[in-house]
Amino acid sequence: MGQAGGDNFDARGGKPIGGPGRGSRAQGLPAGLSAADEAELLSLVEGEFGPELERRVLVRWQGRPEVIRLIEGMIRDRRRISGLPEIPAPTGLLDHVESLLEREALIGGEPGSEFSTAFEHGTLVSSRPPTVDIGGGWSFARVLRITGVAAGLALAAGATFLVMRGGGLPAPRVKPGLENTEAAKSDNRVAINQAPRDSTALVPPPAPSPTVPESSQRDAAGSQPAPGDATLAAMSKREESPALTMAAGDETAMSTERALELAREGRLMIRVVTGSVDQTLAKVRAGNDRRLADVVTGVHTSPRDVERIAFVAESIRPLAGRFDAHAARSFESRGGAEVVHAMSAQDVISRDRQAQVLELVRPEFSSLSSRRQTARAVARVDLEADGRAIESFQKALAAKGGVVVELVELPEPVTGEETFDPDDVLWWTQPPSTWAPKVAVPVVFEVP
Amino acid sequence: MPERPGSASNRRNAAAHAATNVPSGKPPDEEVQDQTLVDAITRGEQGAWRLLLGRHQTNIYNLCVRLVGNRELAEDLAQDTLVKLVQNIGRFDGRAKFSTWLYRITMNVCLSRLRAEKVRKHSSLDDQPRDDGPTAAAMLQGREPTSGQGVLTDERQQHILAALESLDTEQRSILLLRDTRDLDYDQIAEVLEVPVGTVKSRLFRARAALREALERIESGEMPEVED
Repeated sequence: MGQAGGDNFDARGGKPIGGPGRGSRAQGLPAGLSAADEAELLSLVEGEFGPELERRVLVRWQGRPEVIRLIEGMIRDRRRISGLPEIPAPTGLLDHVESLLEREALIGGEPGSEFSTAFEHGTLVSSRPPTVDIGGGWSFARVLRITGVAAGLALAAGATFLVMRGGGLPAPRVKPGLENTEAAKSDNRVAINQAPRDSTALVPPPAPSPTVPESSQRDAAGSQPAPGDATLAAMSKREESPALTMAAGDETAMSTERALELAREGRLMIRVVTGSVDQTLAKVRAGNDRRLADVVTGVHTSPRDVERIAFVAESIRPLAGRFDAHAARSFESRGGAEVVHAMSAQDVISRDRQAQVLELVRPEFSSLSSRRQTARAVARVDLEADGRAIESFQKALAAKGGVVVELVELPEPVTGEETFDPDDVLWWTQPPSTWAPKVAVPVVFEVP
Repeated sequence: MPERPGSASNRRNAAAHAATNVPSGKPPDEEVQDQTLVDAITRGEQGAWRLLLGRHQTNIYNLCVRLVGNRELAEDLAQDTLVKLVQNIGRFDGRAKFSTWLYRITMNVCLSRLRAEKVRKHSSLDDQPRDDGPTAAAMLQGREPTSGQGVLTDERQQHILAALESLDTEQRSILLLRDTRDLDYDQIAEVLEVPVGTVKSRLFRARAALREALERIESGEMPEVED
């Protein structure tokens, strides 16, 4: 630290012992102050002198009233800065941080990231199976578990909104309670295959049975050395199935042209897994990110939009396997055979059969599901009818806390019935920038 | 062979460092608690991450808010800082105080963003608007809330905030570290990676610049914002 610099008191021989001298003038400083003078006056301002020394220094500077005024002002300013109120940290800040870390874990981390290194110093990456859940912290086991829970969310969504349907929402395609049965899967495939357009791409991959013995899964999956290979192999097989969703950064990502085409047909949905639905949605609503403001021309969360989530939820339910597989591939790509332990078959059980929620649980992890509730929201976002606008919106969501932002192809339009908006009639009263053609895209928010 | 973070000798170093730097930004027992939590994290103890980050999130957020003058941007920066903290916890060797190390990360994150904004502002005159972050104008529009937004109701506070914003980043940083985070010269030197003598010199110059800016504001002449 002893490096001399041009603005260094010590390097200029400044000691708090000098009196008024000569020196160059800086911004806001009276003329003629030397480095030693400045050091002495700073000590005065900082209260480093005892009362007697302070008095003597002040007496010495009595002939320079402008300096005395400056020092008095500096002391006042210091009190005022110190007295600035502390602003509480935003609610959910740690949740956002957690989401960002989970997201990095999912995508394998940024190049050169210290993420792995950091966790190597703890227990999060080791040659042993993770045995400790750092509650509220991050472990691979937890990331995997959350990923599993997130995968289960898609299944849970179906059950949740089937219950909602009892209140007058459209009739279900799948009978409640049968969602995870072979019959239900069959029903579901039929329903989706009956979709009017491009149904071949919508056949869901076979969902894994959470209770299949590990040995059976291993047999089905082929040879893999790690203990958890059966699950991973099964997921890898599913990964080879026709893609249903397009995760950001995925090599099978939906093209912007295709996304726009689907959006025009009302068959594009954006699925967002985020640390905080409220905050992400608020940012979208406010349009306070330029990327959002540039492409979002309206955000609607009317009951009618919420009602449509029944369709949306039903449509995304078969995507759970895909989401799982994506996570599995990410962890495989990290090259850690040890992390496979957390995904071994005995870790994957169906904990809530009635709701048919697939959860990745172990007894010691069960507190998570009770502590962290799944929050969901749906919005209909009006975007410029431009592929780049959709892409930009997707990226902006990812930048605003979306752990996973997926473009999802829906079997049938869910935005066909437009909500009446008086502004649409009075379009000519709006700024010309809003005259561009729009597409309405449902956005479903989830919290793992 | 490098010592593992949180090792006994590093804890002793940290304690010794804390003992020889009074007055410091935080009471030594808080530093010890930080070190204890870092140790707990390295042992994989339950809840240690949240406890550690929870202890510091308000400090980090406030430093970010005062540095960039925009709450939303500050939230993003605080998030980035906390993420970097987690990612780099393995590099914390206990030789510096944890809070010093943390503020160094915070400053690096904030200053990088401010520098990027400044470069973008100067280089994009002929370019189309870019979409990778708030513009300087947006930052200024969204800067510290007015009284109607519920935080600053005192005119003098608004004056001091406006004066702080009128300073260059270097001056604002050093004033905030000293007066709002209560760091001593040694800590500021570590955070800003400059000699202690430079810290003193810059601090005095920053106080003088702030005084001048305040006088201009209080006389009705608003200073230009240089960021």
